[in-house]
Amino acid sequence: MNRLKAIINLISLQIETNFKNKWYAMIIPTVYLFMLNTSTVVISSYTEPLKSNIILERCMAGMNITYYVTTLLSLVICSTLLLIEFGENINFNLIQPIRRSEYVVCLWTSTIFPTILATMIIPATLVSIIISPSYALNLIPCMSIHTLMMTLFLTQIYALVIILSCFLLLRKGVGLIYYNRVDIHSIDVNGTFNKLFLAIRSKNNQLN
Amino acid sequence: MISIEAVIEVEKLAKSYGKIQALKGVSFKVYSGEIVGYIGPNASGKTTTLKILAGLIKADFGEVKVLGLDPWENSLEVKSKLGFLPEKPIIPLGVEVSFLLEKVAKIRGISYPRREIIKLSQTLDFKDYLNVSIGKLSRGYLQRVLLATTLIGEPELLLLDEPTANLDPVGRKLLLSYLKELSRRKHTIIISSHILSEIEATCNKLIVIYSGSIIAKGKLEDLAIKYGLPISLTLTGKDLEVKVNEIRKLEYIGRVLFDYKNKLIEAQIESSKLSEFQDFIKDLDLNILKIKPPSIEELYLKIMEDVEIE
Repeated sequence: MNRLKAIINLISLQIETNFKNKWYAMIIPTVYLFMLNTSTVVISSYTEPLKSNIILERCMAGMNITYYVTTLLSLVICSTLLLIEFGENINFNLIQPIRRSEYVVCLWTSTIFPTILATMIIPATLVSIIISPSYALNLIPCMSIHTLMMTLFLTQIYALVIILSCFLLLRKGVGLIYYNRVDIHSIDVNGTFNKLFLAIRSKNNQLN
Repeated sequence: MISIEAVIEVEKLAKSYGKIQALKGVSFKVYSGEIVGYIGPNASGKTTTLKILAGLIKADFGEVKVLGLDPWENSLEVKSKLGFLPEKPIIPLGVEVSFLLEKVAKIRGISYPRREIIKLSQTLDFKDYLNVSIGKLSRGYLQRVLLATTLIGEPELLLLDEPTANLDPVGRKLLLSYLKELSRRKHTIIISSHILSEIEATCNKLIVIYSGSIIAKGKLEDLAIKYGLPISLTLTGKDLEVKVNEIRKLEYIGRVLFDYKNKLIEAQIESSKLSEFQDFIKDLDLNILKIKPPSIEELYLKIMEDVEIE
């Protein structure tokens, strides 16, 4: 029971830190994916009767790809940002009386769980709560074909921004480990990080 | 063969990072209630030793026992009994000081965290900052909070890497007197620091590491004798006005001061002549009130000088 309390306290401390320091990692994907989900739902309902229009059909296919790709990328961005936060706190976490295997639990719970919440559960729930009844009650105003095309275009631009941020972020994450800002040799989850650290150290020595 | 009475027992400890050999067969013992100064030049292996003792990294070779346990194999048991302040501490920013300390206390299984937090915040003088976000603290107060996360629950063993860094003189004084108080209550403390005056004011034992090997260890008085440095003795007794002249006649005697007001003689002698001098003052019916070893700075420089000559 004491072990469980200790783990819960470390997880809640880490989640609190994640929310305070990396709130944008969760808020931005949530808002974006909610908008994307909404537009996908609305647009599909309008394009349904126009399935014979080949341009619209292709646009819809593109939109679906955009939807899956950006959801996946948002997931990667959000989890990377939270992982960086965890990584920055690793020295602090490791000096606490917690087993190495328990850190893995803490790492997953404080990183993956909020990520799934921000990129999947909350946007989908919001769509089902707000959009579905509105749609059922026919409250969504009719959109012209130009508005529809503009929405699709903006979504694609947004996707590009997301891809670019994802690339920059991953570069930062790798750089963070490479330049030893994370005291990675403190970690030895089954020796994996130790090996990684040794490889980085030996690479650094070669460079020096 | 390792015995169980020492709080820390290290034998032939070795650790490498790739081709860099950080520790080359380090051996020492630390006993309950001791405050040990662990000193040495930069990159000599101090931090690596402390990390091995805290169970954060595994030694490549050698035997380590902390509180009778292997810190790597029994890291949970060892970490729950020790407080470790790392060289480059990282602390979760964004949360409030009291929130962090409460969580740390709960992780450490402390029953009444609030009481502990208030007590520590008073001891280290940051009680007005308990509701402030950690990211907004100045460096000095951040160090106080870090120390509080280490000292919370008063662990049996404390491993402190540069504990007074960024602290103002008042903060240093508060911390060092608190550490002395803990030592009196049989807590064991290892301090790694480059501020030798603080080591001198706090520690009763010294371990000097150089390039991954221990080059000197022991009490300051013993090390002064070993390295032939002068030591000062404060003497008391009757007819000091007459006897001070007898002392001044000795060949191996250094500076001799006579304090008329307090009726004390302060004499500086070569440490190797200590037993001879003790016999001499016994014949004069004088008593040694205090033995003052050389300053730790003199001792450290002498040790380093000898190593570099070798």
